[in-house]
Amino acid sequence: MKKTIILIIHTLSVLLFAAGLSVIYMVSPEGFGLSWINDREFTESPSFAEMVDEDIANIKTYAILRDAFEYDGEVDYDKVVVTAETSNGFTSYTLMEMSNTAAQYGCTMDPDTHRISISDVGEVDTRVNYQLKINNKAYDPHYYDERPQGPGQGIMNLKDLSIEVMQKLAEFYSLDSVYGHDNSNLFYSMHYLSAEDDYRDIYNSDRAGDDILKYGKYVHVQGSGTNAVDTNISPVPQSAYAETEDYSLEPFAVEDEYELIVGIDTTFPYTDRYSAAADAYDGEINIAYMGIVMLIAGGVAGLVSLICLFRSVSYGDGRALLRPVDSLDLEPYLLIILGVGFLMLRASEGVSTFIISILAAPEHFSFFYALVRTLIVYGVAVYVMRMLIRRYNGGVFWKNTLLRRIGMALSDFAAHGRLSMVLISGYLAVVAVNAVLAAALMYCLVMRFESVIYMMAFCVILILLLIFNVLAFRRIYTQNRQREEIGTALKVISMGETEYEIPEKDFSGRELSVVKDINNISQGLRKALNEQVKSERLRADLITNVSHDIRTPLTSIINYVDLLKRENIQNEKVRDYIDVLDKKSERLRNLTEDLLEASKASSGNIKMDMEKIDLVELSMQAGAEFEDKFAKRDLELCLGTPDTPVFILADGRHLWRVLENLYNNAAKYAMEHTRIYADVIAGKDENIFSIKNVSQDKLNISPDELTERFVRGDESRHTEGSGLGLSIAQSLTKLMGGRLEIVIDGDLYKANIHFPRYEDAVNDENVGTSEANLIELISEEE
Amino acid sequence: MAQEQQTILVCDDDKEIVDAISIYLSGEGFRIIKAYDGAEALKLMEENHVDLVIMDVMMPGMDGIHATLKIRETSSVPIIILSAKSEDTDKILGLNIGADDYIAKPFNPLELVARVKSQLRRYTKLGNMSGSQSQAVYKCGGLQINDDNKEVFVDGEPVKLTPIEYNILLLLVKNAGKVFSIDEIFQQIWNEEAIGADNTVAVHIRHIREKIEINPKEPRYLKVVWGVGYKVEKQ
Repeated sequence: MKKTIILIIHTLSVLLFAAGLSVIYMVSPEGFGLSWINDREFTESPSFAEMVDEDIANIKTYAILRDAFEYDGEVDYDKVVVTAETSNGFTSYTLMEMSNTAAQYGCTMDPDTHRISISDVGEVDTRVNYQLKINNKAYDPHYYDERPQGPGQGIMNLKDLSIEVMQKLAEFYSLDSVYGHDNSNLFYSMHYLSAEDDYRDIYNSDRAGDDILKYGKYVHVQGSGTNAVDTNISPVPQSAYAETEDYSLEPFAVEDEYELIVGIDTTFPYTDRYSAAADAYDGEINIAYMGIVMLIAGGVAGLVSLICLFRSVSYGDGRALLRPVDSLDLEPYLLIILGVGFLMLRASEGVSTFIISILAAPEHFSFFYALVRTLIVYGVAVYVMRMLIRRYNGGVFWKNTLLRRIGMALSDFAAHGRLSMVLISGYLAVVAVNAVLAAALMYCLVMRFESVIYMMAFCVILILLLIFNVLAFRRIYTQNRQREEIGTALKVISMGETEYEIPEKDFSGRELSVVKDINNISQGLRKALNEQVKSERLRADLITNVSHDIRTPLTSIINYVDLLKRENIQNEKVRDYIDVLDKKSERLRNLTEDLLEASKASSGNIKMDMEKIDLVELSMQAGAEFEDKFAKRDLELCLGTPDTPVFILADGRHLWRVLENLYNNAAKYAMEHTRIYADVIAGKDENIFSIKNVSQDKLNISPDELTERFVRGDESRHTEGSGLGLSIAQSLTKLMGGRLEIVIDGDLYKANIHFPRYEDAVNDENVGTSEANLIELISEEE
Repeated sequence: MAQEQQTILVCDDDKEIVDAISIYLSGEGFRIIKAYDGAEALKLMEENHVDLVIMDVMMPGMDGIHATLKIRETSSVPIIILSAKSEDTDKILGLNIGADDYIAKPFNPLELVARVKSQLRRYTKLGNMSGSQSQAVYKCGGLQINDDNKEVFVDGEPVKLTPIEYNILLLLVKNAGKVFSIDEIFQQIWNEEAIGADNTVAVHIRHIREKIEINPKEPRYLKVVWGVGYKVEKQ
């Protein structure tokens, strides 16, 4: 509602402004702008000067015509007005003859008003076509000098001639009515300097020349020959100057020098053209002031209401102001508005011509056309401006533009289109731009001598070309560098560094989305891994706690079984039972211990103190520890070790646990009375500890199964093993960066532990301690 | 020992374990005081003269660790910690807060008895044996070697060693803390270069351990540094 009121106010203001402008335009003389308003006095105004100018011209004409038609203050019909050459020789025509002739052709003069009227009387005289070669015209003193020469020139027929004379006579009468009397505010005196021409002097007052010059405004042509003009009228009436080129206005010959004094009584005692013009001028000044007031009022109100109009766009919440049209794209909508505006302009021509022709004089048509056009353009501009502000406040200025849509589509294409298509179109675009620029460059090169502009354009295009190609190269370079980084990152992540995160801020476009995907993957991987590690730890914790809880009752069982054994029991059966209890409780204890260790080893929940270990020394130590056990089953241990130490990087105590398990297996499962071979081999890449024995039982089981938990080579379970030994050995070996390998060949059982050489292991710090081993461990467990 | 009955405080929240320990130790002639939590143990300590404490770790109320700390504020009586926790860190914690020994459950009753006796000997006998004047005496905790008459004592009890075993042990005790590889020991003892693979030294050392250690698998004196060699811990 408020907006509508503002809109109405604005429209009215603009119309007021236009009206003011029109008023000022209408009352202002052409070519002088508004400066005339400063003149205030009519006599100072250009229109006054114009009137004087016109009067001087008229006076001159009056002088000629009076000389031609009048004698002694009366029109003399006997005066010869035209001399002509006919086939019969020279003929002269008096005014009477001309008047009569004209009357024959229907041209008569009203005796009172001296107006001529021409009626078609048809062919009354055969002489109508009588051709005359005019020699002289009394009413046109320069005719003789300038009459057209040559055959067929200067020929008139009698009818036209007589009508021309009558028209001149009428003109004389009309001038005489103005300039022949002294009841005028205009005083003049035209005085020929040579005495013989005195009869030509004209004046409308008895006042002497000096008196005339005392009037408020005057023009004093001191001599037509010198062209000296003294006047206080500005601008100087041009008709005061005797034309040197065109004599048409000058009475008679140039030699007939005259003094012309024109004075205007600026008190305007008589009512005449001047007094009327002076009155009208005052009125116009008032109208012009009114027009200025309208202009200013309209302008100020228009400006204020325009600001209100623009501000009113942003009243209230920005988005709520949006209109349905604002969802259109800006550029096409602007085009539509421009089209509508153009149509309105075209339509306004027809309509406004009709209206303007009613309201204004023809000389003002162009102004009003321009005014109407301006108003239409202004209206459209305000509408567009309002729309732009509305869109800006609504936050859709950039959003709803075709340019942005195209840009979005392009970047979307670049980011998600098929890579090959993007590359091809990108390449083509670069080539196209280069081609266009190069062509322009060549054109400027060819045209360089034509204009400096081409030289300048050449330089500009050259710089553009360079910049464009540098940018294009930079883009390609950045893209490939980013791809390289992605490749590196992928390699690192695939090596197990799930903590690695590619910094997203260094990437853009397609690469950015790839980087985001990779980061997502590594994050997911990390999360999954963490989950797994966590659940593994939980499991290990559970097993640890359960083992601890089992231990306390187990302690009692073992202790009391032992106490029972100490009792002197005679009953053989009871003693056997106690024996079973003893064995089984011992086995339960072993199981608990091994279970705990296996869970810790497989979850990696073990602290490793990696140090330099000599495999030879270790195998000897281990062998010594098992001497008794082997001896019990008559097994011979054959140590095959090099003379020099064989170093690896490992945790001594855990490696001992591995070897202990392997020796234990050998001691338990090797066939009695056989040899057990323990070898240490310093390999090229790896150092290997190997133990071989011949199995007592058939080994109908795969090596992989052997390292699984709770699997034992002998299904009978008659020994005290837990079935966890190899599993523990394998886990521990892996945690230390080594690898346990079981080979079964018939009854030959062989366990190899491979470790990287100490030097290599120290260089590659990842081994043994890194998460990578754990990952491997866990992933194999699954 | 017969004329003076020694008193042992056994503290565990599991009554059967306390009873079993009591049976074993009573059989060895010790007087037993039973406690079932840390607070009770402290109270009984004040009321009675106690020669040795066997303390469980995980108990309701005051646990074994706190009880041990409390006892150590006033007394230097030997304390053996008995725990279901067998981790290295648990053992280290126990020994660091002032316990003299650490036995993990389930334990071998005989080992427990042996350790109890060992602790008592060290506490009672070694204290007054320190006055013994001899230049050629090497001591390492409860291990004592008298080089003059080639005698070895563990917690005051004489141990019989073969000459080679004695030499090896002497070498290690003289250089307590230093790790000797098998080759080095061989060179020092036999005075010749080690030739080829031979675990004679390792076997000898195992024999020494079996003689001087209560539990050869968890030696207190002669320790195996796996893959490197052997050493006697500096104490």
